[in-house]
Amino acid sequence: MSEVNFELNSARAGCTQFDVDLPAYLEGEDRPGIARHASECGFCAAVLGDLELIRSQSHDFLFDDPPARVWANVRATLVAEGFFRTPKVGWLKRLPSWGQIDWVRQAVPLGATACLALIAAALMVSPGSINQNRISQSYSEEAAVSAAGLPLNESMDVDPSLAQSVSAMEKSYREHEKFLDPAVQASYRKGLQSLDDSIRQCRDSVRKEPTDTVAREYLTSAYEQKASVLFAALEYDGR
Amino acid sequence: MSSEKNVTTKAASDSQLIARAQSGDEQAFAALFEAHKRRVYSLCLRMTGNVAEAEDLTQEAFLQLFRKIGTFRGESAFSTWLHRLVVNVVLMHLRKKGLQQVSLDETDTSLEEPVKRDYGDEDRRLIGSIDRITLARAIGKLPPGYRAVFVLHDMEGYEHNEIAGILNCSVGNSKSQLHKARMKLREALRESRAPGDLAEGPPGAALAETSSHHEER
Repeated sequence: MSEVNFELNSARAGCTQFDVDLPAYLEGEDRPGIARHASECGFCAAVLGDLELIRSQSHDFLFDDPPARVWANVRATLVAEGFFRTPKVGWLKRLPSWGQIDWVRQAVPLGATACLALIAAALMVSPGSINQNRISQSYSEEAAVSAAGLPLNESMDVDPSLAQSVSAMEKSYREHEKFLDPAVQASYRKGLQSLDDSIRQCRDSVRKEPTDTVAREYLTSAYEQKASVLFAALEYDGR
Repeated sequence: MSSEKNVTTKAASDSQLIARAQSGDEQAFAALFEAHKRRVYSLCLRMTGNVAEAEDLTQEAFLQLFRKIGTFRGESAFSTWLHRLVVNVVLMHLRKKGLQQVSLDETDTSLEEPVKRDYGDEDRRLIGSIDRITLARAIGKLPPGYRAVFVLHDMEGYEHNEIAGILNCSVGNSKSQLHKARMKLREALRESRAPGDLAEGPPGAALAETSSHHEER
């Protein structure tokens, strides 16, 4: 009986020491008594085995994916806070410092506005002050370049109906322009030339990066502005 | 060698993305989110034990990251920087909730508490691998303070001195909380298992027969 009690007390002491040493042992410290006691005590061996299993399983724990709405919310907040800047395309790349200014990104509509302003100014200029022959010849040459630069088959990067309309209007305008006042012709020429440059640059950007939606939007916008200018020119009867 | 190469490539990739994100490139923001979302969300999920809170905190952590990204100068690894930020976001959240368990003050007496010994089942142990859902559930049931230490140490690989710095407690306190967390996890995992999922202890355990006579401590 006393032998059993001695064994039991001895086991309790071993378990107590095991409990004390276990955290340090699991931290990698040298505690020879742990392994020795575990080989003698089923309960403590089970504790040790379980804790080692939990530690290894936790370390290899797989990661979870957050739902898609998390990025959607993050993005929406960043957009609202104005974090994103539109990548520069075409002509904006050539104006690195100006490209940082928001209004420069609106250069296409600004160009069209400037074009209309030039037309208005031209209407107030004396028709005799500009050499009509030189202007007519000049725009005829540039119109040919423009037609060569923006034929229908090169306008596939925008809505084909828009491209066809612009092309048809441009053809009509070339026939119509000779009846215009030279100063008006010069103004239209300047405006159209500017828009053609924008179209060309946007189109180059789209072809380099077909997924660049911003460049594509600018391209469409430039075509629309050109259509507006051509329409205004065809409507103009102050010859 | 290959893993070293991967780490280098990843760091270079991160650094390019960071530079682009710092200039406001949306695609770079999206790529950074994509690259780190799992780690961030998992950390939030483990530390809170709640899916909805983890989503909110992931969102908050990335927003803070992107708002501060202009100040990142590369003195530390980006992932380390991000990790610290996420841990801070989660801890701030837990403290705001006023959960007393988050406090790891020096009055902790965890080491004084004995291992709970469930006699009659003392020689049975968890077997094989623990499935991740059961483990995740058990971690989620831990008190927040224990959970934080456990997640940071056993899952995220932080050292106790780092955890002590993050949680503003002593190293000894971090160690004791970790041990207590592990013991609670064990208890939860054993409770979640059917008797057939528990195995007999190692054969030859001399005192296994007598352990049923131990008094519960």
